[in-house]
Amino acid sequence: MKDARLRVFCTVALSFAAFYSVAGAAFVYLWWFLFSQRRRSLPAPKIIFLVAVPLAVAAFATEITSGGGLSYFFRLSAVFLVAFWAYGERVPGELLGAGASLFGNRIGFDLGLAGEMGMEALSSLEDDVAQTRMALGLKGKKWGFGMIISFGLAILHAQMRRSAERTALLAVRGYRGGGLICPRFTRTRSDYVAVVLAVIVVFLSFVPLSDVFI
Amino acid sequence: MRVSLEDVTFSRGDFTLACSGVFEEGVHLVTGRVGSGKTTLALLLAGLLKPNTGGVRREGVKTLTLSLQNPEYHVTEATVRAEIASYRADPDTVAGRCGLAGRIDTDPFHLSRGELKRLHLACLFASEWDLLVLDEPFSSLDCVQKRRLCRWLEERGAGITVVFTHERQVLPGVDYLWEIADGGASCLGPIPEAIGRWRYAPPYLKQALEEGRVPNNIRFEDVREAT
Repeated sequence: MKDARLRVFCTVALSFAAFYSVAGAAFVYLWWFLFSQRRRSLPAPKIIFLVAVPLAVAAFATEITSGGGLSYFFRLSAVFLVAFWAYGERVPGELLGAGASLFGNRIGFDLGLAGEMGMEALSSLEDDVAQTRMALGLKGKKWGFGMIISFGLAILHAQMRRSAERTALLAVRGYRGGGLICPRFTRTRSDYVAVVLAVIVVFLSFVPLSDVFI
Repeated sequence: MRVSLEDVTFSRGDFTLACSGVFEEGVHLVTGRVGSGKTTLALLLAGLLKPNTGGVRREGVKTLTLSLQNPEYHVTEATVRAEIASYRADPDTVAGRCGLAGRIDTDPFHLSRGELKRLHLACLFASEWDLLVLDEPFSSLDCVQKRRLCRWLEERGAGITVVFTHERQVLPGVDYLWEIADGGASCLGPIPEAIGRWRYAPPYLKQALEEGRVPNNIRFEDVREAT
């Protein structure tokens, strides 16, 4: 899906549907199966593991304390699946265009810029983690519980420094809020089908299935 | 002592880097545009990335290290003293050597980027390495510190030193020149023969070559002395 506006819409709608009900989540899985690039829409196994473990732990704790953990796991997994798809499809700079196109060159530009910077931070985080682990290895330090604080600090500082550099760059370029951008978006017929089905998924997540399939 | 790259290829997404060549003892300068693959080659040399095809063979290399472009990745301790000690170096000697003797009990993250960079480099140069790989060692340093780094590089007695940089003003005396372009890394040869083939030569060197002067090395002083 090349049109970032449609992708943002689908991401928000499907995330909402998946979180709202188990039926919605089931339809989201189906939607993802139809419109994603399946294995290519998933991140590296390590990242899936990092996301899945805390989710499974939280679901397990919920299940044994108050119940509903399985439903929580099923629904949140669908939300993450949609997030992985949206992240995998992104092209740098497109959120800026999508923001300006949807909400204008003032607020829309700022929202798009904030989204773009957030995405870039997320993207650079992966690199920061990999390089910090390499640096630990070069010092002969083993990755473990005792290194969490220094590891976290190194990554936090790398991110903060990058943010400061970007802020300075924006200031040097005279940014005071808003900006002019004229993006062009391309769409295919399957993109429209995906959007329509996402809307139907949202609708079905609200309505009890027995009312629909009599 | 040598490091051989044997038909190495490494791919990530659309990017592919291919390289064959041998890094002998001495100082190697590797240049290329931003995003050409300098960091990838540095990581391959240090064994931190595995090539998709081919292999990196290190003969006689018992100790190796790599300086990453961002010095904050290397910080693991809460004070400059402890940070230097984490490299198994003497804190007072190293802090004095890099001009941070008065800040030895400071948090490394309270240092400026340039100070942190020179602290990290001073820690590396305090030990003997068979293979020392430096990725953009001149970034964040001012001219005085760049010259100091050049001196450290030139004073390194033995071993293989590989410097990846896009620095164009203050350069050390080197033994070999390499270039990365169009997805491939290639050795231009030993100095001074390679200077004429160096596409990314700094302006002062290009001007000297245009005037028919061939310096013995790539430093500004060498160009000034060339006739």
